[in-house]
Parts: sequence; C-alpha cells; structure tokens
Amino acid sequence: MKWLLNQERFETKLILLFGLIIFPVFLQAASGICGKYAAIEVKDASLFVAVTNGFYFLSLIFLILQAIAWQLTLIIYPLSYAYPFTSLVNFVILIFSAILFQEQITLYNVLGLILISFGILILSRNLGEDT
Amino acid sequence: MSPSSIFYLVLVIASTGFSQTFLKIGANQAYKNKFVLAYLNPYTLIAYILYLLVTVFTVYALKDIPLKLFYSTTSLKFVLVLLLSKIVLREKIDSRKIIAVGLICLGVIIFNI
Repeated sequence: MKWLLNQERFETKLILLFGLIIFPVFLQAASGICGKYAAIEVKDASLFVAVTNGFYFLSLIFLILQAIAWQLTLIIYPLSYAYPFTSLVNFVILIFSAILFQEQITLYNVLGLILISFGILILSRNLGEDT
Repeated sequence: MSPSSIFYLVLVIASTGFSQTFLKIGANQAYKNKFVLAYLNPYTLIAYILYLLVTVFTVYALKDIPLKLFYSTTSLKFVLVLLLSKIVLREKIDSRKIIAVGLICLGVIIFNI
C-alpha cells in the first residue's frame, strides 16, 4: 500500500490523508459521543444495565472500527506523522458536545483549538511522503 | 493528588506511547495486499492489550486527578510517540514535526484550562 504515497498525484495523497487519517478521528469521536449518550441513559443503573445499553454497544462498535481503520493508516503513514492528527478529535467532540449536549464553548477551548490547528497545518504541509 | 494516581497517570502516558509504537511495528508486518497480516501478529496483539490496560489505568488515575488536568498532562503522549518513532522506529523527525507537536501539546493544555 505504501506505493500509493510514492505516486506523484496530489489528489491521491489528499484523498488518502482524509480517508485514512481524518476518518479514524471521526470514528473515535463517534465512540465518545455514543459513550456520553450511554452515560446519560444509565445514570444510576447497575453495571449490567450499562453493558446492555444500545449506545454503549454502539460506542464499542465505533471503537473497534476505529482500531481497524487506524491499523490501515499505520500501514501507509509513519507513526510520527499520523499520530499528531488524532488531536483533531478535540475539534469534533467540542462541536458535537455544543450541538448535541448544549455544553459551553469557552475562550480557552477556542484558543487551544487554534494552536492545535496551527500544529496540524504545519504538519500537513507535507502530505506524508518523504518521512 | 496522591502518588499512586500520579503513578497511574505515568502508566497511561507510557502505555499509550508503547501501544502506538507496537501498532506501527505490527502494521509493518503487512506486505503487498495481505492487509490481514497487519492485524494478526504478536506486536498488534500486545498493542491492543496495552490499549485495554490504558482504559483501566485511566480509571485509577482519575480517582483523584481532575479530568481537565488529566487531559492536559496526557498530551505528553504526543511527545512520547514522537520520541519512540525516532528511537524505536527510526523515523525521520524534522523540525516541522517537533514544532507541530509542541503547538498541539500547548493547544491541548490551553483547551483544558
């Protein structure tokens, strides 16, 4: 699969970047969001109720999908390149927790995300090929 | 913050770093079109066990560490992964990666204030 990165085509590299690095981040966020729904539903229930909850189950499914997808990512990309992108999960979680759970977005959240974005921007200037 | 919870915090960071490194070694076992080899090897198995342990250590660490402080501190995993990529995986670490990880760590810390 590594040959895909050695190709000259910019579009191929961009599709790979989004498909293999950004997609697992969304799966990870989806798992967290389902976990939160499970926590809301089973607030004062036993462990048995927790593990039989539909959202808990869904959360596990997303986590397994994330693990499968991430291993494909690591076949193609160097770890030192791919791993920092996982910090993007903060973005997805923050937006969804504001929309779905009406949680507050603070100034520190925004400042933190701006710094994370700059980090990702610097990293993704190179699309993973010469590392 | 008790010494034992700090110990578990360190374990969380270390296990995450080593888990990712083992995952990458496992991913390198795949060749040509045999993707399944990236999953079915001892390295990936060790990585998944470590990853499960991280969830257990997290529960213990969170016993008396506030969640936000936990998230800020565990941003050190980005630094550890970078170090292990260099030392164990012999990946090329340029100044761009170092600056990016620095900004991300700072970002995660400020995000959790």
